[in-house]
Amino acid sequence: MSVRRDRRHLAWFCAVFLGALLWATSAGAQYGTFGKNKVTYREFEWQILRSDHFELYFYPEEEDLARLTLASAERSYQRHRAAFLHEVEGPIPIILYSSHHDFQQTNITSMFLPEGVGGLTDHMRGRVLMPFTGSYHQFFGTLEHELVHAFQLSLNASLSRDRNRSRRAAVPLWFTEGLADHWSSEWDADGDMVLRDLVIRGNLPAINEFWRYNGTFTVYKLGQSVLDFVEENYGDDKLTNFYTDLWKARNFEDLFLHVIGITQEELSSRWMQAVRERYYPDVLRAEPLLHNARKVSKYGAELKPTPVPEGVEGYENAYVFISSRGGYTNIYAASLAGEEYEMRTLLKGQRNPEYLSFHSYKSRLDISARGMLVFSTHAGDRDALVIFDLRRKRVVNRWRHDPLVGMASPQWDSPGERIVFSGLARQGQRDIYLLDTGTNRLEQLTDDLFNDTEPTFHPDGDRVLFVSDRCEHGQDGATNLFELDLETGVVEQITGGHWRDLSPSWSPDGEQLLFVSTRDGLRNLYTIDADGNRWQLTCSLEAILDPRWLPSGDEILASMYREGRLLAVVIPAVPIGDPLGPIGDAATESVVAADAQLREWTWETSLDSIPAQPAKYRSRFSLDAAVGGIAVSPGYGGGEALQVLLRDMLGNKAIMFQLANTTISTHAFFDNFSAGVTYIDLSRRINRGISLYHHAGTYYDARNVPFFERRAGFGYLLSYPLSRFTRLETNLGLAWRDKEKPWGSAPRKGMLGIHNISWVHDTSLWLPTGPIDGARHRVTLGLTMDFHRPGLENFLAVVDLRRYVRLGTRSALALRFQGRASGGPDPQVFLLGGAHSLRGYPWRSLAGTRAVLGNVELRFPLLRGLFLVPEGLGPLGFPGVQGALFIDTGQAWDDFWPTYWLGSYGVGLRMSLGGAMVFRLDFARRMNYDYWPSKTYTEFFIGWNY
Amino acid sequence: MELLAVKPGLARTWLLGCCVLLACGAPPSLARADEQPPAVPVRFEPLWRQDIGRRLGASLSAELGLVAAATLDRRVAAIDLESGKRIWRKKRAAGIQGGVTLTGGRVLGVCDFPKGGLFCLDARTGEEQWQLDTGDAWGAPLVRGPHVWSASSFGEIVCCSLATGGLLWRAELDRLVRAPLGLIDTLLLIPTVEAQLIALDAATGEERWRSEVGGALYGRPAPAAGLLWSVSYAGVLCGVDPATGAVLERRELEGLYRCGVVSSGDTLIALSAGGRVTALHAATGELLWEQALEAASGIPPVLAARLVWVSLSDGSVMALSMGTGRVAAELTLPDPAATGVVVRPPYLIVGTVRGDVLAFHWPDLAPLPRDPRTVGVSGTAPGWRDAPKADRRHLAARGSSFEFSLGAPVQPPSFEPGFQASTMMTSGPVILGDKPKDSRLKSGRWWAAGWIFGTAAALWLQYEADQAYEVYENTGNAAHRDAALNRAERYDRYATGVWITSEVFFLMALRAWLKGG
Repeated sequence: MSVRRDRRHLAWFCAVFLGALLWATSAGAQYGTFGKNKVTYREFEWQILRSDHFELYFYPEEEDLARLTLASAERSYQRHRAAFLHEVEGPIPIILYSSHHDFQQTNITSMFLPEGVGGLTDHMRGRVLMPFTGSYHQFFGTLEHELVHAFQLSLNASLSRDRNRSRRAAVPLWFTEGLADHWSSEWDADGDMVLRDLVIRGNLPAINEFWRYNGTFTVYKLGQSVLDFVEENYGDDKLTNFYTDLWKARNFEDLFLHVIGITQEELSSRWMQAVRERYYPDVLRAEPLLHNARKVSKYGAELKPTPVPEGVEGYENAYVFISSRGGYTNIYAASLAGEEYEMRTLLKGQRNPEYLSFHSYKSRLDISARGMLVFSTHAGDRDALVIFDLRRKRVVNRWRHDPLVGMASPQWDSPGERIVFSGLARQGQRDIYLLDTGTNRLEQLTDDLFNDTEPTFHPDGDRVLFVSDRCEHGQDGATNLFELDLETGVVEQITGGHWRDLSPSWSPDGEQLLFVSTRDGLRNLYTIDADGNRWQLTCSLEAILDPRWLPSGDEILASMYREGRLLAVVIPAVPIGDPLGPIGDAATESVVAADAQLREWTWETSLDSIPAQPAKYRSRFSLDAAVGGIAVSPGYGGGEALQVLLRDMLGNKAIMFQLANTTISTHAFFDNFSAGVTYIDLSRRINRGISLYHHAGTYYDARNVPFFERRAGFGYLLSYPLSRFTRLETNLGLAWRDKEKPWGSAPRKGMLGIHNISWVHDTSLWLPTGPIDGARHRVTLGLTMDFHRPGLENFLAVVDLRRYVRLGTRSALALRFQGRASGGPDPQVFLLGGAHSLRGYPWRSLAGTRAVLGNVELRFPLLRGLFLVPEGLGPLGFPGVQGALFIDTGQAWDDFWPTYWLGSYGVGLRMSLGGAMVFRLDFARRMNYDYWPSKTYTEFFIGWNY
Repeated sequence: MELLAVKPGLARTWLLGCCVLLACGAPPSLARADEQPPAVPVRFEPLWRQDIGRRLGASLSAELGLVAAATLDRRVAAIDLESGKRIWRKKRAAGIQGGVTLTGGRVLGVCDFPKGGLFCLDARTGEEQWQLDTGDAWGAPLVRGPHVWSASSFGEIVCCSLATGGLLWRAELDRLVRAPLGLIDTLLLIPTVEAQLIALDAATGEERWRSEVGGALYGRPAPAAGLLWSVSYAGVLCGVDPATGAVLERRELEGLYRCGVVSSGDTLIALSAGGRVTALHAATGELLWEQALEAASGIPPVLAARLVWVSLSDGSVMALSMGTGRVAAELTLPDPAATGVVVRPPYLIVGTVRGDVLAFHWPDLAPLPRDPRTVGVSGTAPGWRDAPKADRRHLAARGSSFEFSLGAPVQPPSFEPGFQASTMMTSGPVILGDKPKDSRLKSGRWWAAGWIFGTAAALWLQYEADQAYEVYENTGNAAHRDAALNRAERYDRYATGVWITSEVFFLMALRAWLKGG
């Protein structure tokens, strides 16, 4: 073989590598044929309001909220500017959504945004994305939090520029989030709940172990606690000094000496001591809840536990709850009789577009006396109320109301005919609503700016009790209990104080009102009796949430926070000590008389710099990413590729430029240029794209036959998401193609019309190594016509079906069937062989215009994590190891070379290092059903499981 | 023509490259001649702008017709005050955050962490005269007479000889210092982050007293009404007895303070990080006036010509009347200031966050009599050699016109006794502004040029490799074949390296161009 021919391998290698570089915008593109869909349910009429330091993007329904947001943002900016001593370059974009449902439709990030995300700051362009959920206190606090991030990003960028350093300390997540919380919110009962639990259980981590809590709420509170301590003992100025000194160190822990004068270890020790001093005394005044209560939880992930009323057949002494212990969030029923019980799945969530979420942290469940479970579900672009018949085990009714985006905490009246719930309207206002299930009539009970939640009927049915921030300290985050008379419409304040009273629940006899309160710094249970006296039922070290009376009336079912989990417990309804005094006692409560308590909140809304009329939003593109790559084979030559992505501010429209060259000689430099431009529009439900391209170069086909091809044309891409899980895709194109093969076949030159259509369905649940539950399906049909010599060029049919049968929390049986066929004068050739298809056979060693593949793989955990502690180095952690047992079978053939069935079996190991960096090692043996050779083939691969 | 016919690829590349080069090399600034100031009397006349480096340190210094400046990217430079020509620019081992002091024909500064080091350069030539191993520093060195003092961020204080750099004494305070030193009479004052003001004997280094002053100090103390005044980060203003260190006065100011307090007679002036300027009477504590400016500031105000000069984060410099606090003048810079202003009548000099030193002519200020020791490019000082040519750009950016009106008559320039305009104090303001477009073009041009040349070189190398392969494949002589193959592979390797390099240049050019846009 001549040297020159050897060099052609370079072209093939370059083409593959550059092709991957061009099309693999993320590692997911390797498996980009599947994936869930971000559905844009509505087109927003975006407008812009500009102030000195911000550009706020909003739509007309939320204009009032937008002006308030801008005023608040400017005030926050002044504070942060003085604290950071930094001016952010250019206006900070804020994109405002009037509900979390709208927020989840954003195209700025391709991530699915969980309900727990209260706001987001985008690292690329410093955009702040803010959903409104009804509470102004929470909203403005989150806005301030996100603006801290905007300043942090800007400061980091200026540091890199000024100091011209790329290698410097990375700021850990606990510090970033802790600082944002420190400067945006006061320490509250939720922080107490988290830290007290850690301290009492002896699990309080040192600062160098905070990384274990990354991705959880706990890391925010740990960070805030440390920074509160630094402020209290060393001064607030130290916090920004960490940033100004960032360039001095390679590791963040080295900065402590520069900034505070002590090491991180010493600070950690002092902080831990201070935290212990703060929470250990609680042991003297409170006791573990389980000393008096009974745990009914088995797995510790039961949210919103709701007892089933007596008389519901098949559910004696049972309760219903929401749990995501298996990965998907489902509604379950279980027995209250101790640990020996059978748990039943009532409804599966997150696999059906009607049950995208049950709002497990924000919405209560309820069950009527007739066994009708009512709950709220996220379905499509808004919520729906669903009634599920426990006896018949099916959904019997469903309600949605156009003006309402959110519906939460539905509660039945005693006869089970009316439902009261908290509804969030499109303009961002949360009020109490009453639904008559018989007449379907909806009545709005409150109509104001206050955040009204968790309503509940009095057993008599003439009053509704609810939680609201319409109290004296509501603007500072306090919530108290209010009662609405359904006949007169008068709202009366029941409790009052600068704390949070939550989750009211009437006893079955209507004599006692139960609720959770943070008034003593802990989350404990209180009741108010018929005489108006208040009683304390618990003085617990663990925080208590979502209490409900059991049918007997002498016990309470609730959730208890412990070790980062929520456990269902049954608590005796026995008061502690003497009554605390009547409600309305001025010494302990600040309850205002009815009709006088409806306060008008005032904000500084007038900013001279905010224009009266907003500007219409127009798409302007700017650079989001530029990626370059070089493929080099020393001694043979090189090639290059470049990809540039421009997007508009809202991420709805994108333009992508690609440039590549795989030349192997100077003569062919301009003959091997590939270029393309693609325009993508995601602003509507149907996603569209159009591309123009020119590809030219020497390629190698599946049988290693080289050919030169030049193809120029345009393509039109459409993707219509039917739901989050299912979509239709089509690709239409017209291209002029000139394909030469050096020997044998005649050149193929002509105008091609390309048409592919695909149906994709994906409900998979993933571990870091790959899917572990759900299913992924894809069916593609394609047709390519040649207009030059009219006729079929080739056809294509692909069926790819994958199913993951869950066996345990981290184990599953993964099944795949893949069938592919192509025909026509120039058919596509499919390849099998290698770690991604038929293991034990050389990569892409089997080729044919028809291919069938089947895989069965048992995936199970081997090691949860691996920690080494080498002397002098400190702990080194490695991610868990997954094992696999597999059997593969398949064949590839075409009209002229029939093949026989091949198979393999073996074992494998997987370890994920993050993202698509999953190391896979397989040991496979071949089989062809006639003989079973004993040679073992070892394959190493980087990529997710199929 | 033969070249075009036989090697079209190469010719096209050259043509493309020339076009790119021309596009990138379009002359800047002249296009801005159309930015004429409006018809308002211009009292501050922009004189010159000199680019020193990436970002200026905290202070400039001017003396004897020279301006000295230093940057975070390790450069120290001297500029002729009248002409703006850069006389010399040297590179040090590390950046200089605290700025430099120019005095007695010497430029002194301290390098940043971790290298540190107090250095002394000849003001005329930039040659190093001496260097002393010390830590880093947040302020420029303090000079009085034959002595130099400096403090490291870890509290190491040194005193050395101005002439030789010989160490006279060293003190370890075990405190964090993020402010410049102060020198009042024989007391060397060290403001610390641990909320202590420490006084050492300036001559011997012996500790005189330590005073708890209510919070972290980020600025130099100032004398007024017989006391030493400092303001902590949290706004606690303390008056300390210089003899004993006892806190005799204490007041609370609103806001956060990152740059200390300055004084003029019995008037104390404090500038908060939020831009609030407060003037108090030191003896009585009476609030004289307050002015809320609409931007942040971490640069200590400068007192000159009976005005309080405040450099703000939005690119403006405000001059407030010392008597009333009213805004007497406003200067708008193309980028936010990194230093306080230096007033050397009739010149006003300020440094920006982009590494530029700007000079303005203030015609209402009568110039100081010319000092015969003045050194400059005009060569009035004997013994001068011609200063090398340096870049000179006229200030031609937004904000070229200024209004200037005084609430009080302009007095002949005078400087407050004991006040050194050259020693600015700050804790390292981090302020951004827009990058001027010509910088974008300048940096992008060189990268583009590198890419063009690299591509051409790689193509030529590949062509040579092709030729060698042709010989290898067509010759029958074994020795010739081997030699040709070796040559081909060698050129291929060279081409590979050059391709990679030219690709990097391309990406850098693209980045520079897009960043500036």
